[in-house]
Amino acid sequence: MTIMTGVTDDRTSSSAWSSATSICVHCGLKTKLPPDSDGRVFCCHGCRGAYQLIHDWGLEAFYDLRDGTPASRPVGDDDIPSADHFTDLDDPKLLGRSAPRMIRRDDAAMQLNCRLSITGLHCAACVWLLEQTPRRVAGWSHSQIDYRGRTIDITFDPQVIPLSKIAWRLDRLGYQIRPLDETTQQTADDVANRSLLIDVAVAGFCAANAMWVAIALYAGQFTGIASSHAIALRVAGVVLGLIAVLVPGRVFFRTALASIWTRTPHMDLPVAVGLSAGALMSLVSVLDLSREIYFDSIATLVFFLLVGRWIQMRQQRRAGDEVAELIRLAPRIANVVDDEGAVHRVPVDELQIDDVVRVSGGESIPIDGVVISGNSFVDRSLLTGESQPIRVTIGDMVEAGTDNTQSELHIRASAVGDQTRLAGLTDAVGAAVAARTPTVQLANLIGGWFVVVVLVLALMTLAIWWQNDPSVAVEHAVALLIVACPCALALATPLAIAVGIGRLASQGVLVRSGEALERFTQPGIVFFDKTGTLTRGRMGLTHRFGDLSCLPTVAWLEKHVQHPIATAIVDAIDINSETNTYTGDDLRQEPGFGIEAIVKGDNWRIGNAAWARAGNTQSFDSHAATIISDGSSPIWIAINSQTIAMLGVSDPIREDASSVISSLRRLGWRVGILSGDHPQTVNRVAEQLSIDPTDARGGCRPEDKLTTVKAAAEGEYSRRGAVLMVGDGLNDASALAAADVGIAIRGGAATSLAAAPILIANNDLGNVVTLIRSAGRIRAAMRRNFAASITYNALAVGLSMLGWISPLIAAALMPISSITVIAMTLGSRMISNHD
Amino acid sequence: MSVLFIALPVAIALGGLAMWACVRAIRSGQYDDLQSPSVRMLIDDESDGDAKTGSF
Repeated sequence: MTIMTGVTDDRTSSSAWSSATSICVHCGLKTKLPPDSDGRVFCCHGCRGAYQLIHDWGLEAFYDLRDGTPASRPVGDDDIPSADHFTDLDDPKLLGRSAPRMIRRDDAAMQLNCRLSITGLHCAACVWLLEQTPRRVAGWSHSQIDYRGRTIDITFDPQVIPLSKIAWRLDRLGYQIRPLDETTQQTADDVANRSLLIDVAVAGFCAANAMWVAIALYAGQFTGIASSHAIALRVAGVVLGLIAVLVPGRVFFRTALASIWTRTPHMDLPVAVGLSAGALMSLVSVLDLSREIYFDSIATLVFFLLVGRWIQMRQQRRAGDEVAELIRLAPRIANVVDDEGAVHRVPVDELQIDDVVRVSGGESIPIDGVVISGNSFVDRSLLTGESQPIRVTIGDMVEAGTDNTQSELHIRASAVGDQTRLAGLTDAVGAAVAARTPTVQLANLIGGWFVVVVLVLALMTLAIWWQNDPSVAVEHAVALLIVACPCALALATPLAIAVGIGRLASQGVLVRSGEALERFTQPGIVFFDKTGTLTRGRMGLTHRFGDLSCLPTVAWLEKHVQHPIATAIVDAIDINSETNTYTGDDLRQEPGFGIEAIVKGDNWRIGNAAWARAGNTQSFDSHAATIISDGSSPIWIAINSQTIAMLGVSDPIREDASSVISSLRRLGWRVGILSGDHPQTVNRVAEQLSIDPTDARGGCRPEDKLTTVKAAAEGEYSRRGAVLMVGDGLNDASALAAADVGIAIRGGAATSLAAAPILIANNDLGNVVTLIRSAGRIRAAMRRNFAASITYNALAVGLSMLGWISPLIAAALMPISSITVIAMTLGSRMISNHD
Repeated sequence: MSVLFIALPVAIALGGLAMWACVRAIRSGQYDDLQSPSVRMLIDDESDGDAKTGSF
């Protein structure tokens, strides 16, 4: 695998790796590792492997094609999975919807074809790379990527290469394939998108043709036209206008009717009034050359409004697709141990109560159950928010959705599928979504008033003209209804939201529901989850005391252990070349205490006080007290029964947390913590971030978080101020759904990502501030759009009340107002970054 | 009889034909993925004949 390609690459060899950190050639991550002999820098073996693979295949153009977005990082360092890791993919029973189909190619060779979901796609270069790869691999004949759906279609010859080998190769390139899940969300989205697009096409056809028919008529008005020609053109125009109103325009009538029935104001109401006035007037007066008809205006109106909707839908869908990729859940497989002790791979859905499941260290637990053999630590942070892994042993209950961090456990299932606590939480999320009172969007509120004002003005026009000239009174009143039809007004919101969503997405904030952006009305309260949101969510090294020269060896020893604390030590300490020689053969783990090993004849013990506190510990006892008072846990290191050094580990607060919180305060928001962790830990974090202790609640169950958020939304902040919830865990999910705006942080549980309308995809807490500030700007842009379009409408209404309006003026005013709104939206600066 | 009475329906019918083609294209899913096709055309085809080494 470590073949050097010998290809020198100007771009990489000239890169400035002389500084302390340099950029990995493949994935673009910063790394402290020195460059290879040929000057290329890689952050891990995975990236080096991927780079060499791409080079050996002669596909280096990948690095030129990609548009600055770095490639995804293959699974790092030494834990590159072997091909055996993917053998589940060779069993059609475990593939669900992705089960391969047999196809016969022209050359009569039997081949299999299947569609799988793929993660790790970043840009078009990925499409290129993945579609070129089959040419380099025997037996893999074809692949096709659907970039939007994030799926890959693979055709291969199972005699030559099994699917697991293909998956392994893709994994080494940094892409993971998984069987498709059962959800049909995407197809439903596709159907909605297609039917809206068809409506846009039909409306576009009608509008374009109605426009040239209208131009012919206007030309005729100025230069003279035979009445038979005029009538022919008018009939053609009115037919086109009616088609536009009745076929693609039907959506406006549907929502307008719904808005009347439910008595909620909606922007489509004035639109429907204008459209029906225009259509009826055109129909009635088509043959009467002395009357004005507005068929071209109504056709263009329908077209513009639908285009606006489609743009908003497209932006929302792009954000939604990215979230869907993150939360796509493959059918999961469990290892079931039968009575004879043999292990079977079984889909999690098919597990029964009383099945015995084997869960190795590093795997997540698929069922609620009782441990019947083994000793380990279970990380419950996603389910409950606890930052410290819990020790479990025979007889202890464990729950689905938690992770086994250390050693193998056998668990007898007591609840599976829908009966698990995990499933209960997921149901609670659905209930919280359904229970949230919908907010009336600003545009719809305006729409409600608008229709009343326009109808009153139309009646006034009718009444006033009736006294002067009854023959034109109806015509002027109807003309007012048509020109008052709020095209620009109805475009104002979707455009501002679409542009805002697009720009936020480039900052790493994915907004799936544009409506959520309107709910940041006034500063209210932001609740943060602690574990994983305000803190990193995993252990980190905080203190070092004593003889630090032993640390490389400590890190090397801990490298052989699967435990959150071991990972923290390995991440923080560089291993030097001298220590790599140790093989780790006689390493012994004592769960709950620590590890022990013989290195060059010396006995090393690393662990808690009971394990490694030995010899003269006077100074270390006071260090331990310091570490504990800082909220960390002390790790003792002893050689030959003498403590020589000490480390402190804890789940550290994110570096940017305190600046984010002070920015939020400056913007007028109150900040609170809702955490499932121990109240003492929560208080310490609150103290460090100077959050009022009364707003920092620890020991919250998911139900408590939900009630707190609900109480804030319905009580103190029901009228003024928004209630925000920022979180990542399953225990936050229902609170995320119940808050005015739920913001999920990437890296958390799928359920919480699905529950929140907004996702911070790059895990940067500062984006909460960016989001709040940008939402303010987006709403300001919307308000400016409203002001501009209402000005146009007022102008048009004024003209028509005076009886000065004509179809030509109406036809000119409407596009001008819409274009003004579009230009204003595109020109406004919608993003305001934190810091 | 004026040419307008022939030209008008013909013109609208031509437009209608284009609309029908567009609707068909949408129904067949051509507009579902607007990202990858736009780059796929920039990619040079390679002949299938070259190195299928299968090794790396």
